[in-house]
Amino acid sequence: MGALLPALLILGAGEALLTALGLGSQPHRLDRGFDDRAAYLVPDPEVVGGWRTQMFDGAAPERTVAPRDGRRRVVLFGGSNTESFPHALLEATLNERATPGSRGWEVLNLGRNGYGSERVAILFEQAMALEPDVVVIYSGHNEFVEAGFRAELAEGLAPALRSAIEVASRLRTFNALCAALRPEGGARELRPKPEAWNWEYKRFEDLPYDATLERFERYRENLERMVRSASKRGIDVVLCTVISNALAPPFATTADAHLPDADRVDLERHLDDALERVPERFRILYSNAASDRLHVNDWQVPARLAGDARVPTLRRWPAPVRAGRALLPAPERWSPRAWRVLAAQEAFFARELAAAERSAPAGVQTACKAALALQSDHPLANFRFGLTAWLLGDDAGAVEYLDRAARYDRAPRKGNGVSNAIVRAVAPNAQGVVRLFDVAALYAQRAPDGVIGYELMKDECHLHERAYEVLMYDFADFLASALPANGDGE
Amino acid sequence: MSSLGRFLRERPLVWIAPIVVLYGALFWLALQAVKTPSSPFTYRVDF
Repeated sequence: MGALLPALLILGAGEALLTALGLGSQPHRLDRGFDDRAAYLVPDPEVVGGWRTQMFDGAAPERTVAPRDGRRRVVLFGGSNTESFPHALLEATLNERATPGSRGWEVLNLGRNGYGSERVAILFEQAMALEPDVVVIYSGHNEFVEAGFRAELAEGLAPALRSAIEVASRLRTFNALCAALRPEGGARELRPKPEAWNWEYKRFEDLPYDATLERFERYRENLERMVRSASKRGIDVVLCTVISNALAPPFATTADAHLPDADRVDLERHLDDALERVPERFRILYSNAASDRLHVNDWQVPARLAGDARVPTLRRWPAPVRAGRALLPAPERWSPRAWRVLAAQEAFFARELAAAERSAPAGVQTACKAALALQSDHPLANFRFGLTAWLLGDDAGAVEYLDRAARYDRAPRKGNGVSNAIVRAVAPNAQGVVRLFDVAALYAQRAPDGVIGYELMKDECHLHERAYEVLMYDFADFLASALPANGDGE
Repeated sequence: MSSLGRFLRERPLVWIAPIVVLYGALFWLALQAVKTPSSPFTYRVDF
């Protein structure tokens, strides 16, 4: 022990010195790829005063940003939805509606698929160099997509090594060493790690709900951080709630760990029982199997003959969404799974029950109730109960339980009542000019019966291409009215 | 105090070695921690 004493004394003295100097307090994080020194934006070498992104790693063309001109510059931030926004349409619409002689609008799109609020916040800070007048944040679907990627990055190390680093990161000495050893390179060569599609959510299956809510607190903090950053620069902020598909089943739905084993077995049995009682043609809507979920790729299969299959009828939405098939790609591009889901949805919304099926919903609901009696916040039990409430004619119950299903999902891949409530709370309490664009409420109000389904959405969170166009008109309406041209000429 | 002084003077390897090992380990760990991961982190689709 005596031999270790000098080493420990030196370590202790070093820790005290670093504390006095304020160094090494930031624990080194193993989620590499979330380094705020990685350059998401770099000056464009070919255009003086221009910028370009380095976020897509060849998966899509990098965005280029022309030098600032006199127009009001709007920058859009978010994940894959934002990336898909037809921002040129938004810009053109805003300019068409601008009063003659006003400055006009320029819209830049910095959305990147997979980005949740952590990386949006890093990019956001760097994008202040673009001197935006208005920033629009449409983020909330990807908190667990991003958390999964983050965990994957950390898993690049052997478990023992990772544990050792996590222990060592409690020492300021270690953190200061990491800071000193991190590749510098003016940060411009340091690029954010590319992330491609990641459908892997099993890692969250046993996540306790407290941990889910904890993750949403990080989302809140990231939004607040961005709002503060913009507000102190006098930039107008538009915070958006996000649109989600109520018919997309929850993702992480395992029973809570505190439930006794016997109850867990019973709960699973009730859920299986519920599913078995669902009439066959509705079953794909009730299933949470990965193979039954619709994906963005289900709407862009190579064109093939649709044959003589009858195209399912879709609900009509009120203007301006219009509807039916107006928003969907041609049926020739739908995958067989998309056909099955749309056929099921058609019968579901029509509450089309054959004589032999009429007694089924009551049985499904009984099984779901038994599951909910064991765990009232079980996402899948709430989801199946909500769908069945609809079939039984209880519209309000359907909306309520589908909302609960989404909100209790332990690792949602779509924005939900929790994330949207955070946006609604952050916007009015923020300092500066922060406006709330409650897109989720707008579309819930427009949705027939308040239930957003596959006539608007490709999967759990992505809109059909033509629905993005409608959304751009909504954004134009909002921006033009919330940020009128009286600031022009400033 | 004098016994500690004598120990430091007479058996330098015994107390210097732990310092070298401790700081060497921290340095090596820090190097591993800051190293850019080499795995490609590509699509993982399980449906």
